[in-house]
Amino acid sequence: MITAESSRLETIQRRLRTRIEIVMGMLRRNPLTLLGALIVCFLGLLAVVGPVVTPYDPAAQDLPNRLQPPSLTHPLGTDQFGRDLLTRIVYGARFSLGIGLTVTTIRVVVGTTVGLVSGYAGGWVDEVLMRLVDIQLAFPGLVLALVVAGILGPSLQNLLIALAVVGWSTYARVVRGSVLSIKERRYVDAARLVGTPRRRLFRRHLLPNVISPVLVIATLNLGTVVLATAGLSFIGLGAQPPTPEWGTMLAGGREYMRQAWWIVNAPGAAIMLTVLGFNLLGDGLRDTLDPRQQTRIEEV
Amino acid sequence: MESLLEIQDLQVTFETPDGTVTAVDGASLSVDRGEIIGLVGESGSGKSVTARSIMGLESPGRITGGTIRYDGTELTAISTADRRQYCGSEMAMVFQDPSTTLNPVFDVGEQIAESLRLHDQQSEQSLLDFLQLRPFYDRSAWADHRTAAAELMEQVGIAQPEDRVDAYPHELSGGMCQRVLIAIALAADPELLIVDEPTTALDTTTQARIIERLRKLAANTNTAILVISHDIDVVATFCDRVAVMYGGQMMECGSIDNVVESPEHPYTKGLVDCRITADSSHPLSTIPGSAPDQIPDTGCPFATRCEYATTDCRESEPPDVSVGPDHIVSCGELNSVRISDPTPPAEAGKKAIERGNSKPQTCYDGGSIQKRSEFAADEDTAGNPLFEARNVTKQFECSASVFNRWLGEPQAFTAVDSVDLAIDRGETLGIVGESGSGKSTLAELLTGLQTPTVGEVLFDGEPVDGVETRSSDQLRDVGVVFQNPQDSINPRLTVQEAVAEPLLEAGWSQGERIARADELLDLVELGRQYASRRPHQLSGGQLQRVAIARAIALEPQMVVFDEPVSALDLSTRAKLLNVLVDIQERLDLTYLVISHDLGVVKLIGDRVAVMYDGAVVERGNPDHIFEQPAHSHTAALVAAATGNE
Repeated sequence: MITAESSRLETIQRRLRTRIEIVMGMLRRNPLTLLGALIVCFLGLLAVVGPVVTPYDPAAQDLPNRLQPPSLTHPLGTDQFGRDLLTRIVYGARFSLGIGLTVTTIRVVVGTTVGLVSGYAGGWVDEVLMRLVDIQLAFPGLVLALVVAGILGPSLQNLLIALAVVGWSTYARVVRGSVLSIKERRYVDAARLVGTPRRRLFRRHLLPNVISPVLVIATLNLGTVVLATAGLSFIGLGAQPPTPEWGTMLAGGREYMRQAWWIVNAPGAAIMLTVLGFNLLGDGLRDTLDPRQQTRIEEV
Repeated sequence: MESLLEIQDLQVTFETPDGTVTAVDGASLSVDRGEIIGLVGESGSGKSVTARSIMGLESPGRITGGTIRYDGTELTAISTADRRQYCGSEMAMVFQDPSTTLNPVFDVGEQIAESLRLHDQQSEQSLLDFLQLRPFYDRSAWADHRTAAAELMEQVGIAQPEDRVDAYPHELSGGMCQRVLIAIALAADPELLIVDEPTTALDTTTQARIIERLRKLAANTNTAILVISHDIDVVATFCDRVAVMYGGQMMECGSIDNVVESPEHPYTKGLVDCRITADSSHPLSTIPGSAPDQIPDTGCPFATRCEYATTDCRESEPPDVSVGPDHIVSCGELNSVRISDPTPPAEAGKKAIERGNSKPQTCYDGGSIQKRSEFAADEDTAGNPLFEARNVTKQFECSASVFNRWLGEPQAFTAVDSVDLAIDRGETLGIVGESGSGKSTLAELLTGLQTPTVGEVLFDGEPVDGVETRSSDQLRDVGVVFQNPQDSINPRLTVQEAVAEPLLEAGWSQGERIARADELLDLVELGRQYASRRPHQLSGGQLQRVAIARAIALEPQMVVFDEPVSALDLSTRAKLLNVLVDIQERLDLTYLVISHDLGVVKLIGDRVAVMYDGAVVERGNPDHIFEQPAHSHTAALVAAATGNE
């Protein structure tokens, strides 16, 4: 029994090692992906440790020091209330990445579940779920989110709900398509023939084989969600001032664009960098998760 | 006289992340005008790369040495643009898989006409021509090409070519598509036609027809044909001369009579011996080992698998020995090969000719394994059969549109038509038929993957329905092995996890599963060292062994094989069939083997049922059916299996 346990541990370790090797190999081959990964890691680090390190309070006003250009004490300058912009950007990263991750996770979970059920069950279940998806896809995403956020009232939490509600249909479509082809594979038949219960069939045979495209879309989607969050906050439907949210900061700094260019440019650059990072990473993932390429890597 | 095509010491390499891989390593070959020459070898022997290099399609590989002379021109030295002139008008190639080679958005007439057009007008095609805009475009030329396309289709043996020119590739069968490809290649009237695996995707009867058609064409037009195949049987019925390739080098080259009937090289002997012929019996002889991924830098590439190999073989390149008129063997140990061979080659050859189409048996130990139920030809067998199908019919709905379905005019396609079948304990029942004869559907009905429209399936005397309703005992008693091994193993699992899957469902613990999986991998002669590999690291034959191990994991009473060997090389096929019979002996299993190849079924089947158009048209002892086929369809299958026209 002990040997079995240890051999199992060994298998897990070895698998982990090959996974890491795959990722490292991918980054080495593709410098742009590496850049994307670095940006994302940097932002993540910023969001986690940044607020601990920074000496300023993101909400505390310091009117004598308002509209200060970038300097050593305020690396990105101060805004119209004298708040340190870098501090606010760092706190804002928490909101943006937090919302991005939460919304994307909800979308992935809902969309993948709908896609799996729809593709595997077929018949009227498929019909109903897919028409639901069609209806959702008929609305422009951001407009629908606007409506939902408008009905629920402007707050970060409602923004999150609004964004989660609109974006899952893409995942459902992609997953359903893959399931349709994979459930015809003989290994699914073989599993059915040994009496595999449906739950395990999904977990062991369907999900692992449909998840690659989902991961790619999710990564690319993270950037879009960050952008949408900022956009909705900018028009006043998301975070309310004085919350240090990037979109809200943009909206606040708009009036001072001519006197203090840094107020709008700092959050603008942060948004751009985040979206760019996720997009580069997503593109790299797409190239790597192509099963044929993975073959090559694992054989190394 | 100079040959049409002369390849000397060709070297082709591929750059991979693991370094440079040599695919062709000093191959030489010559093709004369009007002759049909075969290039044989297992998968990975470099035969396709050689052919593609002739056409200038070697990318992503690179020709690093040697020469390809075509009609006096050195092809490796001229520019790509100059080279393009040779493609089509001088030489043409028919690729392996017709379903992916034809463009699905054009009808086949258009695709043939395109080839005609390109080689008709020497000038470049203008944009107006390409767009086919009415006032500027000469419609009559288009019509001419269509007519010519129809004529070509008639030439390659497509019936009603006037109607079929308008057909799209998906509307034609695999055999038809293959013929269309040949028609495209012939459109430019080439001097040299390269055919890559012309028959692998087709069932035996269609194979025979296509071979016949190509032979006639070669005779009529004096076109040289280079046939690439892993199946030495196909080459033997087809070609005048043959070159045997292994590890990127030519092992043996000569006329068919010399090479196939009295092979000299140990590798050729192996290939010839592992064929299934009318007199084959278990165990089939095989070539030990499997083709290595890397060709050794020095010495004979076959040395690692050759029983006669000496240190000389491994260290120096084998000499080319001329053993007779038009018969060259690349082997340094010919003398020891000849001495250890019980029958001198000349005599063996004579014997083979006498027997029509057979082979010297080297490994057969004199009939220790008897066919169990010699006289079980009639259906009413004593006792209760293990598996029984009673009047089973399966229909699929195939209404043309949703509206038809709503209007209540269901159109049904009958895949299996009132089939009665019984399988006794311990016997092997073979089911043969062309593709589309309903044999796979029958297997799915028996295993429960489909439920019959009419009739019932009984297992061990009890009626059984679809898999979802079968008890776990009923499920564990039937193992299934599918045709395409790549498709039947989940690519995300390790070999061990795949094999242990039935055990997982049966509630075995982790430790027990690992131990049993190792045991099973040894049983199918794959070896437990493969346990942690992933499916993509295994060859087709190895994967099929994994599938077999999975099927017998819970010690079922019965195993259903759906085309177990049709996706495999000849030598791999022979090895796998041996494993199948061994396992049956050891575990006392009942087999149901489905195949389009009568040879396979005859070899391991005790009884055989022939299916045609959904119904069983003939059944009985395989030897009887082989000798005296009653149904015309069976006769066609027999003819195809024995290579007689």
